[in-house]
Amino acid sequence: MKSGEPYLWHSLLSPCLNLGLLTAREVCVAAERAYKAGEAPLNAVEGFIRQILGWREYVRGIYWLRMPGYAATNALTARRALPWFYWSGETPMNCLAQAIGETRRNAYAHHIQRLMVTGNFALLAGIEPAQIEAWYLAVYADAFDWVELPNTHGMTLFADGGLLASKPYAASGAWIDRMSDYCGPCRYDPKIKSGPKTCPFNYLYWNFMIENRERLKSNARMAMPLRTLENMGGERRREIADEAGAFLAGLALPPQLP
Amino acid sequence: MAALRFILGDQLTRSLASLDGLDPARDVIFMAEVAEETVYVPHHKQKIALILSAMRHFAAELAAEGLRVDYIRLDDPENTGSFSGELERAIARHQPDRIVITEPGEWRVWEMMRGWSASFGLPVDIRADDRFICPRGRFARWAAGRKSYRMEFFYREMRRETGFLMEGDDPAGGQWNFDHDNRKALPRGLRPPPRERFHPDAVTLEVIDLVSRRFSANFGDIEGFGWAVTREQAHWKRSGISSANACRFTAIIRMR
Repeated sequence: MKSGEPYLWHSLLSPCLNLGLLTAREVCVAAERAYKAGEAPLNAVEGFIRQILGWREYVRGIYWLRMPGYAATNALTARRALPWFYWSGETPMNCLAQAIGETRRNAYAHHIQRLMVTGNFALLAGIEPAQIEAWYLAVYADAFDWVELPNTHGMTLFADGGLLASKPYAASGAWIDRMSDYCGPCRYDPKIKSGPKTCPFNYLYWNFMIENRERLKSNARMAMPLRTLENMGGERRREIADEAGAFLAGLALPPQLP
Repeated sequence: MAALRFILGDQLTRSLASLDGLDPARDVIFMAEVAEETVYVPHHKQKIALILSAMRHFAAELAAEGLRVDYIRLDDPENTGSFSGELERAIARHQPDRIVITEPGEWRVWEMMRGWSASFGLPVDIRADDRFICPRGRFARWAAGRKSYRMEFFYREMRRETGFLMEGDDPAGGQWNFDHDNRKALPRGLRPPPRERFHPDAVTLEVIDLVSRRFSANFGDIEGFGWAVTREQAHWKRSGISSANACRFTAIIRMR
């Protein structure tokens, strides 16, 4: 993720595909042809075809297989209201402000911004699935229910309890720092462990582990963070829970609309 | 036998199942911009403008083929604001003996559709959306008996069935997945190519004006609208990707 580069190398074909201006088959044919002609490397073409032939078809299959019950699941019992900054873009967390600002300007954000910035925050903060799902469905030019719902509900929020994703895609500030240039100019610092300058993604990440450790302890892929959590000791865990609680309590909710 | 062929805003494909077997002399293609579809969530202004503009362009292309197209605009004074209301009016205008549609992309609309035959007293032919590669029944067969549904295994079956990137029975390059090549952070100094923008034509400008007035309080900027709104534009975009500009493909940065 890079400031000022909302599109990177993403093809921006999703609105064309989802409206029907292009079909899944023809873009796969075009990509395969580019590989066979030596115009694009296999790793890139395979990754592209997997997104269309694999992921896109798969989420659509899940949607029709599991609806209408699918949308009603809430495996992590997330109940928090959607904070107002998702609509206003006004937050001192630079990664969120960048991703939401670009969303407002472009009706687009790429996969990693959706999953690991706005989505990761919603997962860690325990935003009620239906509220954040309505946001994704509203703000992206390519968003239709069959594709938005499984991606958000299953992949991003783990609200289906692991039907789609083998573990919650939870990440701390360090991950965002490693994968972007967002943290440099930010008011917060992902390298600071606690106090007013620490990145909220850090204590929200560990608070998420505290709140969900019983649900996640049988998941082998969560063993490492849960072991780290155990080793922290009770006092550190209380400090994290306090910082997260104070931060979440301070999030502004939408003003009452007439 | 005259059919009313009802096409939704995300069904803008000439090969759509709803258009199979169309009788150009008698059948009417019906499309409607309805208020309920613009408000079920508070859509971004560009999303509304994209869908309405693409619908209008698609309808114009069908009409240019000489097909009979009946199109209701969002700001038509008689517009009832719902699919069901607009279908009822269209049935009164054209007196079809059946309705032909393609299954929608939303459970909400699917439920609505299943009530139409009873409420209009007409046969409603709901066809499978074969623009998707994997039919719903095929997916259900794959999923049957599985405790969890991992995309990777589904994907390999789709590769085998379609033959995409296959060399006989084996995946091209000897492996199914090249993700490890795609996980690196962005190399320093590498600049992505600029986005292709499509400048709004008269149809899009009219829609942008409508959206700016009617949805002024909605989230999002309408300025800078540059989405492809026709198949021709989308196709240009696609051929751009498959041409020598291979660098667009070389950095699909993902985590997993």
